[in-house]
Amino acid sequence: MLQFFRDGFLKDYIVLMLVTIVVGAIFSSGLAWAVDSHFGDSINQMIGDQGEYDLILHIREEAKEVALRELERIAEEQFPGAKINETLTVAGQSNIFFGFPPAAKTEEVFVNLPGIFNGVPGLNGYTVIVEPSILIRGVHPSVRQQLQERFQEITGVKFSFKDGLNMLVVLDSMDNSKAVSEEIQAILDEYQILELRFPMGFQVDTGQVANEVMDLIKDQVNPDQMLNVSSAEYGEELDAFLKTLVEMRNFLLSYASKVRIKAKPGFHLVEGEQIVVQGTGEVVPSQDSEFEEGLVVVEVINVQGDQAEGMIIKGSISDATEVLEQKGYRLLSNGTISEYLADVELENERYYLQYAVEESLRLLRELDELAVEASLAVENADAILNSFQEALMQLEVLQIQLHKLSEGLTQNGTQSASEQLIVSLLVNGLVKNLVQAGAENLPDNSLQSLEDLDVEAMRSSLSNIASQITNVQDIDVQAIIDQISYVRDSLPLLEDEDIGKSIRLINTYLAGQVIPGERVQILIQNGIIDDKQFEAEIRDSLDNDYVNTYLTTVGMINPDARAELFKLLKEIRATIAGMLAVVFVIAILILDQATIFSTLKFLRSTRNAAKNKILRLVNPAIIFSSLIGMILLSNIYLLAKAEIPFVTIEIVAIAGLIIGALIGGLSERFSPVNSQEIMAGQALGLSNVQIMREIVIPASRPGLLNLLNRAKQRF
Amino acid sequence: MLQIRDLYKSYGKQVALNGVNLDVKRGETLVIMGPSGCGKSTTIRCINRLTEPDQGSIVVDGKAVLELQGEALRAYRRNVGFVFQQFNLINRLTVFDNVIFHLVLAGVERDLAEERAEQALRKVGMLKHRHKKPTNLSGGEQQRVGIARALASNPDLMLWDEPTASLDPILVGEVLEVMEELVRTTQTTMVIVTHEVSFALKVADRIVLMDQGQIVEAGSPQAVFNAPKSEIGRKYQKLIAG
Ligand SMILES: Nc1ncnc2c1ncn2[C@@H]1O[C@H](COP(=O)(O)OP(=O)(O)OP(=O)(O)O)[C@@H](O)[C@H]1O
Ligand SMILES: [Mg+2]
Repeated sequence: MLQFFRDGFLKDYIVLMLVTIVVGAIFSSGLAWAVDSHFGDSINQMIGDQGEYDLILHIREEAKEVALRELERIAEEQFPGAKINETLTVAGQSNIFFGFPPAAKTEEVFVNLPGIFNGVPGLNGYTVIVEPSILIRGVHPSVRQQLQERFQEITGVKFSFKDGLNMLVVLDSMDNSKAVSEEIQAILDEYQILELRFPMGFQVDTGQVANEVMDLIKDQVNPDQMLNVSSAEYGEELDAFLKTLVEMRNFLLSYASKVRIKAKPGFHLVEGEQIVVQGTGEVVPSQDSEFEEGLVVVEVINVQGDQAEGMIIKGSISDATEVLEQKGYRLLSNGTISEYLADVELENERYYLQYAVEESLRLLRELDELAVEASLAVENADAILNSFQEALMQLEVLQIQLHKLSEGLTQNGTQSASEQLIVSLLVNGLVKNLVQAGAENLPDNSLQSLEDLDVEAMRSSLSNIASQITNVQDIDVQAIIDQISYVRDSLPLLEDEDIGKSIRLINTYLAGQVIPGERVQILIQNGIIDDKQFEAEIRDSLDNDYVNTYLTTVGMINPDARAELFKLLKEIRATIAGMLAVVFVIAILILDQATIFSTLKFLRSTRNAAKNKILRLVNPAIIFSSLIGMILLSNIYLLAKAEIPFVTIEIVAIAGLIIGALIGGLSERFSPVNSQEIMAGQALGLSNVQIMREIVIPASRPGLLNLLNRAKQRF
Repeated sequence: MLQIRDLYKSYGKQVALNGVNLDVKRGETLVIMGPSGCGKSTTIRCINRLTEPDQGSIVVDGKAVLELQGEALRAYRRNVGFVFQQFNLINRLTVFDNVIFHLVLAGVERDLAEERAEQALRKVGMLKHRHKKPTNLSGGEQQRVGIARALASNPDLMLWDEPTASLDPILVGEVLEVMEELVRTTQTTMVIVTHEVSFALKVADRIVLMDQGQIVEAGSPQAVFNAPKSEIGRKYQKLIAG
């Protein structure tokens, strides 16, 4: 077989191989690149250039048009210059890209994203894609604030904000993203969460376990740098729930009757202790008597010296119309009344509220009627003015009452939410079935509009009542009346006892005693802990072999989405290139090389059978074709920078070997030799290279071989 | 000029040549005859090494043909004209190119090559078809081009492997005519394998009969057909008589 190449065809063949490899690599990588850049372009088109868009709003398909209009309005009014681009609609969800104008890419705006876009109809949520930025996934709530402050100090960081459980650090420019992300990583690396997990069903006092854990590791970690963050782990939902509970408690406390306790000399008040007073009932408590129904039980809270506040947990003073001053007896847990230990002052504030409500209602009705009358008889302005003023003054009183009522709720700036909560609390009977069924569909914001009534403005415009009268009519006074009526009707139903019980219930929740704690998490800063060794110790210490310990991070830097996408594209490109390399090699083996394989096989058949047994069994032409397949495929694959996932270059070489063997074996099917012509060539004294150039190749399929041969071919 | 000694060839278990011995003198026209499959083609192919024998020796003009390699082999082959049963023309090339291309590739001056090609084509009566492609010619015309191709290199020895066997009877005549003419006018040594008995009688200096890979009878046409010693010879005798 070597002889076949020896008389000059070897040179032709080497040129062919080199050209094949180069063309194959260019073909594979070029076509793959074309596919890649096509996809890249469409991705760019879709997600815009770097930093062009900041978020993708996911909108229900049917609301798309309205949502777009609303977004355009938002853009026009709040963010002139903002970009909006409606893209794909997938599975009933439209995705609208929104890009803030450069000036609006501020912390303030991003922190307020929910506020800005909540009103968009059909909004199912949004994905923040602000660029350049670094996304940190799964930031532990306990360190979010700390991290945010620390990230802020990194040069190159514009600002950072929380997006769900993630945190986005927005950068000044893409250039320093690597440096910044290294710094962020270094900060994240300082923190660790040591987590203990108990199997389902274990009731764990998280506080106690946490203390035990911290005690165990105090040698390794500075106690200042450990923090029990077990409950924070419950995330947003629970956070909100806990906040609601706190507000509820504040509301209930402000609504509950005020109890002031002053200990008698020689007595100490203890929080949680129960004191019996007479209340508004007939029964008078006395030492060493049994507790009787009708008496009022007060629980001591907030002890300060010999003074304390109290909370009625049994009985009621709801019908009291003035401040009660009564003797307080200690109530023992067995139900007997013990010594007289304090003087107790009880004040039913609901009375005032109720009074105010009643008055308001009366005046509101009048106002309503007045408004109607006024429009009929404006000339009677004098009288109306007086009545109106009176009504407004009363309204003011009511407003003050309402403010007072909600004062305890406003710490978190969620006034309207808490008001809604109160209303629903009252209406839905969370505390008790305050109102009967049917009251559910109460308008939520009537109270608000009542409060928003600009009394000053109204007063000043009284002189111009005739023109203003329509304003009054615009207010749905009846709705306000209805709502206040509900409140009034509910008030007497809300007993001190119920309030007290609710507060106690909330307190137990807030103390974390009832939250099932299968997990305990300790935040550790700058500590090194061997968690496996620790596991053994804590199992020992808790006498519980089922607890497992883990060390986790407080957040993970997520690779940039666009970079990820392009990395993915690059992988796709490499895969396509790999597949194209295979296709190309198969094509070229069939088009070009099969001719050579067939010729080799034919020439061999005219020769004597080999002496060597192995060579007699295995056709050298097929060994040759296998090697050619391997050389072509592996070289083209490497040169085209192809990379099919999980496929190593060895596998590629073997694939080339197999493809080469197959095509070598079947070469006559792809490219039959004209044995008569070859024989003529031989008989005429042509050399192998001449036979190839003048007879075999010109008659073969068009391909690289044929093309390269043109220059050599003489006939 | 040609001596063949103890030539053996087998294809697997199939024995094609079983000790062939043959001598051909310069200028002699030798006709080999015999039944199908007896090894005529194999013998004649061995002479120009289109087939490699397993054993034996072939000497042409003092050269051990079976030892020739590379350019020496090719040079030898250029000096031996071979006419195939299937014509074996290069279909891609015109008649003229078919006759000239091997000369040019062998390094003959273009002018000289053309002259010789024209001469050869004229001899076989195909010059007027010089621009045609073989596929547009009849079988007889194709074979005449095949003959011209062999002639163009002015061979010392011409081997003919059943040149008329693939032609339909009407066309056989024109080819035999050309062959007879050649035998008459040239001094070239010819080894012709054919089934055409009357042609053999007319042109052969000597006839060799083969059977089962061996030469079973050799002699002048008269000797072979009038007083055959072999069974094959007797069969041919009957054929002529009948
Ligand atoms: N390439 C080959 N492979 C296998 N067997 C072959 C091959 N060529 C010839 N033979 C066998 O060798 C024997 C001699 O063949 P050969 O072609 O020499 O016969 P022949 O006398 O020329 O017959 P014909 O008159 O039919 O041409 C035959 O039996 C044939 O089947
Ligand atoms: Mg034959």
